[in-house]
Formats: sequence, structure tokens, C-alpha cells
Amino acid sequence: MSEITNLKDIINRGRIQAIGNEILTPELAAKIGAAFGTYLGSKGIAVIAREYSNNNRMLKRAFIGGLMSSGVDILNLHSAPVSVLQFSIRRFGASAGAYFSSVSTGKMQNQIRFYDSSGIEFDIKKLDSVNEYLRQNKINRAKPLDVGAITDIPHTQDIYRKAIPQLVDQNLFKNKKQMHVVCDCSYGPGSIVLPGILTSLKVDVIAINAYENDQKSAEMYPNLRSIKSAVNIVKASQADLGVILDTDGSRALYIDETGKILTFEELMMFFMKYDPIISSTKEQPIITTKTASKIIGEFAQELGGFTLLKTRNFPGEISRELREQRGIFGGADTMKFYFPNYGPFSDGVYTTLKILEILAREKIPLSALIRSFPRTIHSYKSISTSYENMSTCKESLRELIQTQGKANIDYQDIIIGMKLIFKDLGWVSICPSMHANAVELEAEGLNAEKSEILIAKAEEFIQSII
Amino acid sequence: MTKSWSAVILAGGLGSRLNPLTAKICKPMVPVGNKPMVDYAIDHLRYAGIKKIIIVVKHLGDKLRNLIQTTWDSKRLAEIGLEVLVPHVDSKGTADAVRKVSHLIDTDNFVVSMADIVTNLPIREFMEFHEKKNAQATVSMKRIEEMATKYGNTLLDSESRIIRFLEKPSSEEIYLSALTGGASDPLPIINTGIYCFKHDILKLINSSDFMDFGKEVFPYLLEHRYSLYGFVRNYYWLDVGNPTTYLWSNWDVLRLYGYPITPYGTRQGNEHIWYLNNEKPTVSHDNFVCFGSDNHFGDNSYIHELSVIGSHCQIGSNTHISRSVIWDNCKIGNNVQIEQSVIADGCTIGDNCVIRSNSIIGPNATISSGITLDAQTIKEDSTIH
Repeated sequence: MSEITNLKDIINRGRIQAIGNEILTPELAAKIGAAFGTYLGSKGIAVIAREYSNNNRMLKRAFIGGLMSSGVDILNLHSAPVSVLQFSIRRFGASAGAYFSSVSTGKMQNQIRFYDSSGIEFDIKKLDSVNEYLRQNKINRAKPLDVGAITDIPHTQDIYRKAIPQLVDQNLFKNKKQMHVVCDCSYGPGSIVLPGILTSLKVDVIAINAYENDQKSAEMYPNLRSIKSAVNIVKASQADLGVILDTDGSRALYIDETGKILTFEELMMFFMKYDPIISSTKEQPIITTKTASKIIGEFAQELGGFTLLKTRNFPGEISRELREQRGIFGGADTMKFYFPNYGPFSDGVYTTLKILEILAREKIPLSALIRSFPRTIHSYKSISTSYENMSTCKESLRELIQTQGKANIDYQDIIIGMKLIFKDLGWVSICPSMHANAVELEAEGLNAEKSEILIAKAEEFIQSII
Repeated sequence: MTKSWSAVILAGGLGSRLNPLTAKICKPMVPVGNKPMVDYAIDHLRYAGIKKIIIVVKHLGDKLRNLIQTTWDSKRLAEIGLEVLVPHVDSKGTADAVRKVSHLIDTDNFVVSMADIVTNLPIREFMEFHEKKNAQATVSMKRIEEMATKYGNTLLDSESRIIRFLEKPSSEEIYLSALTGGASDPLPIINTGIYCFKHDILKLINSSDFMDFGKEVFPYLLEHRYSLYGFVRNYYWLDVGNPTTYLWSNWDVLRLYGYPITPYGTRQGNEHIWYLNNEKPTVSHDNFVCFGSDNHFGDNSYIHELSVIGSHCQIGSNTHISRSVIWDNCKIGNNVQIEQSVIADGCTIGDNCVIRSNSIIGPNATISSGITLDAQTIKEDSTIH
């Protein structure tokens, strides 16, 4: 493939994404670093971090070279969850940040994300501005004596580990009988912080996939096998909660003590009802995505007094809306939750602590707390298929929509599966079953008839890929 | 308790980062919710029970003095039992300003505040904290969410005694300071620019050549083991430092996040709507708006939420204003869309214009009909064809 000279060729859904070392080469990463540095200006200071994997390591090092050449100073975080990067930008007053991670496509794609001084991911306008410097080759190179400095900040994880528990009621953890949590870190850098933080709060932790996996495997985590394993371990160990972190640590799947994976809607309602700050601050709005189920709005009305605002699901959108609207809480159906008293971004670690804080306060199992929540009018269908097809279904769907350019269809990665959004119809989620060899479809149409149409369309998709 | 308190407001800010909004006025005169920022500082102190306020002006000082003396005339001051002094002094820094008015400070303790921030710092609690700690100086603080390198950072011990000042530190310094203490703080603690002092401190200031509190006085007090405390609370505080935060400050005041500080005008019941002189505007509008007086609106215009309309404005027909701030004496044509933008005093906007996405129009600018401005800043007195 010819050399990329315009990032628009590799910007997908507001992020720079391409196959590592094939399209997103170290040479290109260095140029992007220099363009990013030119955008920040020579007085900028940026925090840089990455997920595990040599691809990310290689790209980050090349990027840092380009960034330093523009005169920007760097705080080097090495491997860290993206939320630790966002925390560090704010904690150390940096002007920006960049994060290198893999994309869960199974095709060894890497992505680069940029963050502003408040830890919020760049919107497409800012990304375009960076791209303009690269496209027009208008890079500001610093004079030899003004090349940016690089400083390692190795104890940042310790600072984060000490700081985050301050934002929950630690007495609740000390005074309650010890809770048990299964924590699947998906071989991501979340393993550096989450098990340690939980242990410091006297929570008993079973940590799995909690180390750097240097095996040359194309298998991405979390995947169907790892999710099923975590569910089984939660049940077998009678844990109060299961957590499956996404590899970058920004979001997670949560499993109740019966082995049920909680839906986004259940978690939204859980926080709205049981978090004392959210439930008592009704003058400030709750922000969610346009594709979130309407049941959340109905529940907000039922609780009384909440204002629910909806925005599109694009990098940094909910964060910006939370800041502008002074929102009290936010949630995206990609399983991201935002607590502005902590920060305007989603952090799987902090979300886990908030759930445990509520469990400690309520002293009732998670399944019982969510049992009474209303369910939306869905259409539902289960399609039997092989285990292999279940495993690859999510990626095949993404590829189908991306390559065939399906008009009027958007999608959201909901970790365990996909949510397809059909213009003027509604949405349908497609997830592998945890109990049988089948794919489960759940639709919420604009009306009951449209829900049935959505199920039919999704079934058509499934049949074409299995 | 408050009889033993007076206050000094430092109102010398130029506000260059707010340009072009501050092309013809100084920062303390910039209106937030139709109310000059200096009045927020005055209200903030008088609501805490302080009866004597000394205001030190500098840039465009005569203009600001006139504004203060017009708003806070002797009749009004007598009614509310407040003394406001705006002496003629020429100061060269925050500490120098206090030195120059020290002869007017006759209370056991005094507050030093700023006229370019919008805050609802619980000032009475702050003063009580200062007295309880028997502090010689107490600094208001809060945890800041971004760009801590722009502010003075502080480390405190478990008794809230200040153990270190970092004046506009680098990120590396903040990192190292977090390792040597305060690692458990989720965010850096910064100085928010309001101070309580014992009267004794004036002896030190008068006998020294200190010009600035942050750079000179506080480091000296720390080094010489004065009793110096930090008052850290979670309160509303916005440094109105650029046009974007200026817009936010207006929205926040309309949302009552700075309560008890509110926009000028009479609040309409429990709604977030304020009419100056209780004059109901002849235009349809949402909640979260405030209006000045003597405005004229054409047919079918609409003022959407989070908007502020000044006084003496003429707004044409079918014009929509949303999440924007319009200052006084503006003339806006027909079929105009203004969204998330600021129009300063005396601007003329032609018909069929679209002004959006953080566009900032400086005072007395003219925008010809049919122009679209997207995230643009227009200088004062300029004409855009």
C-alpha cells in the first residue's frame, strides 16, 4: 500500500486506525507525532501511554520521536490503562495525551487516540487540525537545543491506586463483610491497577488473565471463551461481582452473582436509583447516547425529576456534553459510564468501585437490586449456530457493514456483541448466548412492528455470515 | 463575627485573554448574566455579612470607578448598610494594592478577593475556618480538573496547614510533589485567589517591598513559619479566562450554579428567567434566559435556553438566539441564527446571517447581511462584508 499522506484515509469513526506495521508504520507514527506536536505548540506537554503488545510499543516509540522533534515535552507512562492516562493528564496539568492500543477486530489493527487537557478524547475537528499539519507537511521542527524532553513517571500507577479509592466511601468497604470479586483483566494493563485497588479496599479478588501475554496470538480479549470462563468462575466461586475489563480499561462487562451479564440499561438504572449523589442531584442532567434504550428515559421519569439528554456516540461526545451541560452522570451503550465528580471520562476501574460501593451500602445481592427494573418492549429471537460462528459473529458483522457500506446502518461495539442501528427503525443487539450454541437478537424498534422488521433484518445478516 | 471583617477586591485585571470582548472595557466590567463581574465579587462579600469593601482599580480605572459608583450609589449603600470605597491608588501587584489601601482597613481580619472570577465559595465558612485556626493567612483552594500548571499549586498537611507552594509548576514538579506528599489526592489543589488575613499581616506588607501574594508574600510566610492554612472545599469556581469559559460562566449563572450569586433582574417565580426592571420582553423564550430592558423584538423571533440578552437591543423578525450572550445596544436583523456565540456592545448584524460555534464578535463590529461565521473571532470596530 502506498504511503499515507492524509489521515482521513485511516480515520475510522473518529479515530486513527490501521493495520500495525503494514499501514500504520513507525515512519507514519513519527509523522503523526510531529503533526500532533505542531498542533500542541512547542510549550506543550503530553502524557503518552500504551496497551501491551509490541506493535503498540513500536508505534509509541516512533510517535514520541516525532513529538519530541516538534519541541513538545513528554511524560512517558509506558503501559497503562487509558483511564490512567486521562487521570495523569489532569493530575499533572499536562496539555494533552496520546494512547496506543489495539482494535478488537482480530486483524491486528492499532489505533492512536488523542486527549485534551481535561482528559477528553479529541473530536473530529481537532483530529482534522492535526491532519492538516501532516497533509500539508507543515511540521514545526524545534531547533536542536529545543527538542522536547522525555520524563518517565513510573510511580503514576501508585498515585492512581492511592487516589481513586478516595472517591468512594471507604468506610463502607471496611465495615461490611468482605466482598468477593472475579476480575478478568483481558491481558490488558488494567491488571496493573484494578486487583491492587480492590485488595486495598479489603475486597477478596480472583484475578484472571492479569498479566502481559506475549504469546503471538491474534486472539483478542475479551472474547466469547474468556467471557464464558469468567461467568463460570463467578458462579463457582460465589463471587458478589464479576468484572471483565476491556483491554484498554475504559469499560467492562459486569456479572452478577448468578452469572448474568448486566446490560447497559440495567447498569444505568442501577446507578440512577442507588448512587446517592446521582439520585439526589436531579437538577443536573444525565447524558446518554441517542441509541440508548427508551426504557432509560421512562425510568428517569418514574424516579421523577431527572432530565435525560441524548447525544451521538462518538469519541469524547458524552464527555463534552457532560461538561457543557454540567451533567451529573453519563452512560454510553458501549458500556461506558461517566462520573463527573471523578472525571469526564469512562474508567472501568472507577465504575467497578462505584458498583461495589453500592453493593456494600445496600447489603443486597446485585441480582436482587436489578430484579425490579423495568424491561423495554423488545422483540427477541435466538438463532442456533456453531460455537465457531458465535465466536466470529461480531467481527463478521462489523466487516460486513464496513466493507459493503451498508447504507443507513450504524453499529456500536458492546464488548460481548454488536448493536446495529437502522435509521428510522431502531436498534437490534446481536450477542452470543452464554447458555447455548446460539446467537441472541434483541430489538427495540420505534414501534412493535418495526421491532419485528429489525429482527428480520438482523437475521438476514446473521444468515449471510454463518 | 463579621463586624470584625472588611474586604479588599482587586479589580485591576486587564482581561487580555478575553479579547476582543475586553477591547473597550476591563475584565471586571465584563457582564455575566447582564451583571458586571465586579458586582459578583461585591455581592459575594456582602452576602457573607461584610459591611466595608475597598475596591482597587487599575486598567480603565476611571471607567470602572464610574460604573461601581453608579451601581452602588450612596442611597443604595445606605439602604443595605454597606460601605464601598474606590480609592485613587496606583498599584503594581496584588500585595502592593493591599499596601496602598492598608490605611483603610480597620478590622481585625480582612478578606482579599478578585473581580474576575465567578464563584460561590462559602465565604462565611471560609472566614470562620480562618478564625478557628487562628491563622495569620488562609488561602481558598479547590481541586482543579485541568491545566493545573496555569495556577499556583499547594500541598497541605492533615491539619490543612500549607506545607508547600508551587507557583505555576511544571507537570514534572506536580508529579514529584505528588510522590512526596498528597499522592492520595485525585486532583491537584490550586489557589483560587481569595484570601483571609489577620490585620497584623499589614505590618509585614507595609514594611516590605513585596508586590505579589502568590510569588512573594505566601512563600515568605511559609518560610518564616507563619500560621498559614488552606481552605479546600468543593464549590463552584470558574476562572473566566477565555471566550469559551466566558460563555460557560453565563450558562452556569443561569443554571444557578453560582447561587446565591444570580443574574441581574427579577427572577420569574421558580423559573430560571430574569427580567431587568421586571420588564417582560415581547418575544417568546425558553427557560434559562435573562433579559435587560428596553429591547425591541420583531415577529416570530425566539430566544432559546442559556441565552442572555442585554439592554437597548433591536432584534428583527424570525431571528433565533440560542446558548449565546448578546451585550447592550446591539442591532440584529431579520432571519438571523445565533448559536453558542457572544456579541459585544454596539454590534450590528445584518439580515440572514448565521453566527455559530463559539464565534466572538468584538464591540461595535458590523456584520453585513448574508454572512456566516463559524467559530470566528471578529475584532472590535471591524466590518465584515
